[in-house]
Amino acid sequence: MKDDDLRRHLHKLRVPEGSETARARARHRALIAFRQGGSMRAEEPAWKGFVWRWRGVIALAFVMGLLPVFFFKHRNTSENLANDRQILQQMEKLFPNQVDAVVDRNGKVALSIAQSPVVGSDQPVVVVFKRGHESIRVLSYSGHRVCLMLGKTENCFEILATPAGGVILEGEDKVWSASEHPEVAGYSVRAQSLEARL
Amino acid sequence: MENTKDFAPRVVFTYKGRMRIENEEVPEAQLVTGAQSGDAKSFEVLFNRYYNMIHAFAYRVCLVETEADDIAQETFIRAARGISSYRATASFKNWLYRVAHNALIDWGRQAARQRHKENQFAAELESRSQARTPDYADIHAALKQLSPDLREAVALVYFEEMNHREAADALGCAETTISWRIFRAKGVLKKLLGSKKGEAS
Repeated sequence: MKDDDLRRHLHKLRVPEGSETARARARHRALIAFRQGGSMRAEEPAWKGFVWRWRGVIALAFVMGLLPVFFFKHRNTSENLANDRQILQQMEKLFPNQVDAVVDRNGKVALSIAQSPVVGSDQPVVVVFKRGHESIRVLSYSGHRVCLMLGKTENCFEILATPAGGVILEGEDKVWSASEHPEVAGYSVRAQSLEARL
Repeated sequence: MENTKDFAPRVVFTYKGRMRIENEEVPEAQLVTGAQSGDAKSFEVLFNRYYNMIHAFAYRVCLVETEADDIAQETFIRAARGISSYRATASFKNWLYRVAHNALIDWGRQAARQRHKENQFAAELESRSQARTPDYADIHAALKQLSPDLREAVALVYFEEMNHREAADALGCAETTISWRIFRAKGVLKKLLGSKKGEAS
């Protein structure tokens, strides 16, 4: 076999195009790493970090008191995406780039924040799980991993916003597209990009 | 030779559903400088330009699509963290190949330790599902016979059309090393593909 024949043969190997989901995930994670790199370049002195940590604790205590008020206020208009945006905006002001997720489980609200400001926050999404009277509302960002108790089992998902404005939930071994109104562990799932400018 | 498909101006729908035209005007050096000074948009444009190239390279070395996804992602995460260390003495593309090469080395170690069986199974499934022509299956199987370092050399020289010196730059090794790897790879591939051809005829 001549070199040219070998070359021609090899070019028959088709390279699959990476899936859109994989590409989206890679882009998102790379951008988070990029911002992390940026924050490392502009590293603050240790004493400053100490002061900010304590401010964070105080702010967290304040927010934990405030969050139920927010949700109570907006309970009757829970479908209102503007309210979800407002809640995330408030959280972002208090914890810039640290908000991982805000979870409202039947009125009990939990806030998950990262220890340092490394979390990407450009693609806010809302995901609602419903089963009977039970309702779990998750406000988070594309690319974030959220773990929830659904029934008696813990389910972890990575939330990904698609270029078309949809939302994909990527579980351990399955992927759900919110546009298909999937059911997960007996819960119906709705999800939407909040498309906010935080 | 650059893959012109990746560099042509194109309409892109962003995550936020907005449309933009990118890649046409902004020179690479400007994007790299922008990214080095912390501009995420510049880095994102570089990502969009080079993702397919790196994904294809990773696939040609590991021959498993899901692994190629992971390696491409890891490459860009490392590039994001290390872009400030890039110096314009080498082309940015070659620097990215170098980052991908390092990611592939780590992948090789992990694969050998932990995922050997799973990879084999996944590769088998994939080759079955993608064996659209006998040629594809044969080439896939023949490449699989090469060690990852030989496949890297083949990927750069035969698919990316680099000369041996450029490939050596990208992989951070001597030109003679690439020449030797290509020599060995050609021997194996010609033997395997030649015998298949003989069987078919």
